[in-house]
Amino acid sequence: MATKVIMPKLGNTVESSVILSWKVKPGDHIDKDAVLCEIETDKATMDVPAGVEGTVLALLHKEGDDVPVLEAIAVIGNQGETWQEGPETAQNPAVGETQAIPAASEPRESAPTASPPPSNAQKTTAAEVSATMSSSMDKHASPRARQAMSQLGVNIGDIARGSGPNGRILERDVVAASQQEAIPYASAPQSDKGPGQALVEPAQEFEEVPLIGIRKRIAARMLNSIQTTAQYTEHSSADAERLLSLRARLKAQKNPDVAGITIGDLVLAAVVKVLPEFPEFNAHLVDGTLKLYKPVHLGVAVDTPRGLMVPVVRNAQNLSLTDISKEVKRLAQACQNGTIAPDSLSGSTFTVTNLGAYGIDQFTPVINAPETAILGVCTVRPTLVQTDAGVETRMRIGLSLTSNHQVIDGAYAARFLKRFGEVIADIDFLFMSF
Amino acid sequence: MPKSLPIEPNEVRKSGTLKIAEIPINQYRRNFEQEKERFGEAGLLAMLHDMIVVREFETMLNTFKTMGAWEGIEYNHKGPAHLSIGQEAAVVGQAAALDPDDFIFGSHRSHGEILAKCLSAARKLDDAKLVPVMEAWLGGETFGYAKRMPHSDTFSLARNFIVFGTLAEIFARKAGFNRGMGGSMHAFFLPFGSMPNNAIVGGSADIALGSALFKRINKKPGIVIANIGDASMGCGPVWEAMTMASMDQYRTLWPESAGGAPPILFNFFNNFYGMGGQTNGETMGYGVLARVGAGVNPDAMHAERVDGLDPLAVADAVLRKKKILLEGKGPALLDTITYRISGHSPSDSSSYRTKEEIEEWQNNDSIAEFSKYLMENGILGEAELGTMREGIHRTLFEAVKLATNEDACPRADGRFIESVMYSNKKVLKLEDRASEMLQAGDDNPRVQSIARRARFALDADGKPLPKNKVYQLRDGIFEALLYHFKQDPTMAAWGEENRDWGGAFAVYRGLTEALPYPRLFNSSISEGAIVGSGVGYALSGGRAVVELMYCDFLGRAGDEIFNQASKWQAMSAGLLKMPLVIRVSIGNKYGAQHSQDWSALVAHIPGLKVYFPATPYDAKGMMHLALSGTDPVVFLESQLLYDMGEQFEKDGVPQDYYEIPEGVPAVRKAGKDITIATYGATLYRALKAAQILEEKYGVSAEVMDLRFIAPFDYEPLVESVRKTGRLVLASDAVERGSFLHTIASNVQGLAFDWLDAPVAVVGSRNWITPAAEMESIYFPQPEWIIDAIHERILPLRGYTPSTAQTSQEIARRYRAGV
Repeated sequence: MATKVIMPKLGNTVESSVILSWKVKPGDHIDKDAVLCEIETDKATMDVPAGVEGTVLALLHKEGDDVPVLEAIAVIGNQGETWQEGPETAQNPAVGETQAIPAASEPRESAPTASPPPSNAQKTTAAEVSATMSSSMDKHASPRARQAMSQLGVNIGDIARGSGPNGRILERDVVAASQQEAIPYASAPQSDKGPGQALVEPAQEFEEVPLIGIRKRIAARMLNSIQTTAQYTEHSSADAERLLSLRARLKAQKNPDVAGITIGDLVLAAVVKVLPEFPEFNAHLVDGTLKLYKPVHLGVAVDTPRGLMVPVVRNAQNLSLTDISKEVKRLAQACQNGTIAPDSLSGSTFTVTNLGAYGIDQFTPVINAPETAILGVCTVRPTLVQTDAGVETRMRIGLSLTSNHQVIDGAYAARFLKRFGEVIADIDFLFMSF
Repeated sequence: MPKSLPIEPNEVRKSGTLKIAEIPINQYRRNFEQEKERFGEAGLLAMLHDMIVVREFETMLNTFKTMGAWEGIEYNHKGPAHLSIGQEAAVVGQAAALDPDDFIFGSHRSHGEILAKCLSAARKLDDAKLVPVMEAWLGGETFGYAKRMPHSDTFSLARNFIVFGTLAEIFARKAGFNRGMGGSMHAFFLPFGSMPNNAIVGGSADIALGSALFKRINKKPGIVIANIGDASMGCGPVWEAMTMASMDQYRTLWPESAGGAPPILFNFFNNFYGMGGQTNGETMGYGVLARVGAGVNPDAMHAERVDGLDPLAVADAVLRKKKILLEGKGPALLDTITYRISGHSPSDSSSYRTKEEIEEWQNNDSIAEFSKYLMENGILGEAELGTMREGIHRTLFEAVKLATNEDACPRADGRFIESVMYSNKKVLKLEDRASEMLQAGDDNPRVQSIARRARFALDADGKPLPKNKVYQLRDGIFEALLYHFKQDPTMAAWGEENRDWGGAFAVYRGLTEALPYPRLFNSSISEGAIVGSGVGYALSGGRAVVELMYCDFLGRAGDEIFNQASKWQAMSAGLLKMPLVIRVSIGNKYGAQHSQDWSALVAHIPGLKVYFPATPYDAKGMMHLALSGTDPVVFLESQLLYDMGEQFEKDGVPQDYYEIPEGVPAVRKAGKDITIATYGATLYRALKAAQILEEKYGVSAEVMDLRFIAPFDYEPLVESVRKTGRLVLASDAVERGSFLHTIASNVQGLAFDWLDAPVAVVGSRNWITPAAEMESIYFPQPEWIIDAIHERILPLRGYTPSTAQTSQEIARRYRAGV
């Protein structure tokens, strides 16, 4: 009997997800746990498992389609079984009698699945298998707690165990998680507050500002990053004499695109140069699998009135220095104006954040999960350096690299920084043809 | 317990022999000239006519039930048809003796009574009265059909109306006398004195008594007959009704001007069978049913046996009894023998009687016999009889054609049924005349006592005042009652120890001084008849307040509450009103049979309103609400609260009239972390729990007093739950089957997305109520509520439960049935 696989709901606020790629085609046999397709939300990229074993009878959407959650995306059944939309499917499961779908057949793009009438959905006896995230199934949260999660931008994964009867996640656990407080366990002895006290407020000495929009999303993503990765930061610096002189020379050019190239743009170009040499830095870590990306989709942190945004310079390895500079300016402006397309805010493989303009010597950037590292660029300042010529003052640029120790060890990160420093020091070489 | 009637030992210990009054058996002797003078030739012919109408009508129904068709008209009547073929003379003879003002209440086998009583009344009303009655009924809907049937004069039009209205009712049609809401076993037609027929055996006995009380107390003309069967003599409520109708006080204590005993005739249509049980020789032991009268009062209830195969014998007996009843010397009893030739119902194969027996009664057929009698006396010829039969048949045929036509004669819809479950009228006085009162103002000792009391329970510093200086919950009920007694001249109250004693819990203290006898009296210990007579009083047009001293006695009035008070408004299609307040006091301390809260039982019955105040302010305001309405209200009162002062309304209980908005629960303490909602006395334990939660565990509890069971407005409760996300429900009713589970289920449906935990219900243990000293292990205590919160909703830090309230424990209890 044919089973519809539906677009999983990957979070309370997710209303739709984009199908990035199909991993099967109609006619393929697929195992229950095998990946059917890869999808992307505004927060993450996910694999959708088949959920049932069988033959792929139909793919109901194209790659790149934005599909509402809980809508059918594919149909899996017995080989040779025909499938058609509507209640007939369930009532007449003609197994192996009519023609099998040829392996080469196209996905049924035109199948009328956009808004199946609810009555049909009710009549069909085909079990609609939801490919849900396994982590959310082990836990139970009260309806009110789920509502609070969605309001406070907390994921169920953010809460290890609820404090309610039998570990039920209660509203107070969600509130605690959103405030990054220790989750009050019912059974664990605690020295400070009683569990009820989190809910009891003294006289109002503060203004309550609920997190909404980008702020809410940042809060959730940053907390998730900290809670799901093993972050550490290494600080270093690189000789910036040539960086400054190159920047000075570029600035003197008449072509405004060239004159507009900044220190930051040069640093990004250096990142694009170095990343392919350290593939683990241009990667995603998802559910125990490290995905090493060939192209460099470079995330660039941008400070906006609404909060931090990270637009993505796609396929930066193919771009010239001028192109990188122009693209970064365009994206940053769009972020400032609030006109940035959602597509431009997801899919980065490595992120650079630059606080040099604020005179920051070093800091500990937070990884833009599921990426594996983030490079913090600090201020350029004169530094005493021992050289063959004795002690001299040279301009150096600070670098703070946060890496996920789950996949990047300290020495490896140090080698990345060392190599990156060399590229910065000899930045001119980057644009020469030998 | 009046002091004016001393019990003298010397008197009651004297020896002697009790003489039982003689009971006549079939002593009537026909005298044609006398009867012709009494009824006229036309009246005698009318009796025969009506007997044939009843016979033909029932034969038609029997044919439909057994053959699915009659005279070529096919129709499947799915409902019941309890026929009385063979009993026509008895019902027609009775009806011939009655006026439209006389009421008859009947049984499931009452098609004949309806037809006979209505035909008789139609003849006795002049056209100027008759036509408007028919035109007004159901906005003229039924009459519209009658007019489409052939007719030659007003009476034949009325015959159309009666035959069609009854048949359409049996076939559940919207144009039926009761819009199809009553059906075969409950059809009736008020304006002609045909009152509700009752499908519960003997069910009409105490209701008819109430109707007779209404006539007596409100000085209305006519008598009331309870037409019940011989087998109902085995029913408790019949005995209760006969006992209560025979109380000495009508003669010894009620003022002479009241007119004496309620004018009720208990007429037993004695067909010798109760379904298949033979009352004569098998299931009863009275020998002659009329004998029972001798056991009830010194007049032997003026009982006699009368030959129900002779309409003249029956009419003669009823006329004589009516005279006695109008003199206030009732009650009366008739043992009207008759015989049901048809089966109990069409499925009856008569396995309990022989063919020969049936044949012998057929040989005594009343119609053949009475036709012959009229012919012999020269007032009827064969041709005239044929014409009569033909006319009847044509009327019946036309009525059947209309009433079986699905298109011409539709049924009511669900919205209509919903609209008649309650009447929801607001009527302060049911009749516009002065109320009879004695001391009802400042001269009343209770009024004076209340005037000395503080109407708020706390002093200026928030400290409780002494109980005996505070206006109590019982005072609130009293004040409201007194107000309505003054307003509504029809209002009367009765129950056990209501007068002199002032009610077992002193709610009525002062009413003895305020009210003359008929308006407040002590009843026999007959819970069924107490409530049942209230039902009859209310549906006849008066306002009644009856009392059950303990909720545990509610079982004794089960039918009257569950089947009668609750259902008659809807079964009459809203034509009857039921302004009846049933005060039910919920006990404690007295163990298993005096301490149960049975609110769930009444909550389960559609048609009842159920109120349960827990504060003096509410007790008064809700009693005003109950006594200004027209619906049956079960008014629950907790004995734990009678002396409770008002703690919530800071201005105290108002002296003036006010009503609590119906169905709306009240917030007694605001809070934001959890809602605790209760019924009755549990409120005060919930407040204690809230205090502990707040002071020791920093949990802010909102406490709600649900106070209404039906109708109930969920919105305020859901609003509270939306805020707090958590709900505990508590009451003193045992947990299993508690109405709180209905509340819980609905709140979980209405507020699912706001809930942080499933709703918890805390009730009394599923045990017998133990002794007073052990009640704290039985009734919900403050710590039970906190334990349930800790175990099932919101674990509290450092809290150790003292009772088992876990889900697992609940499962265990259910497994064990406790």
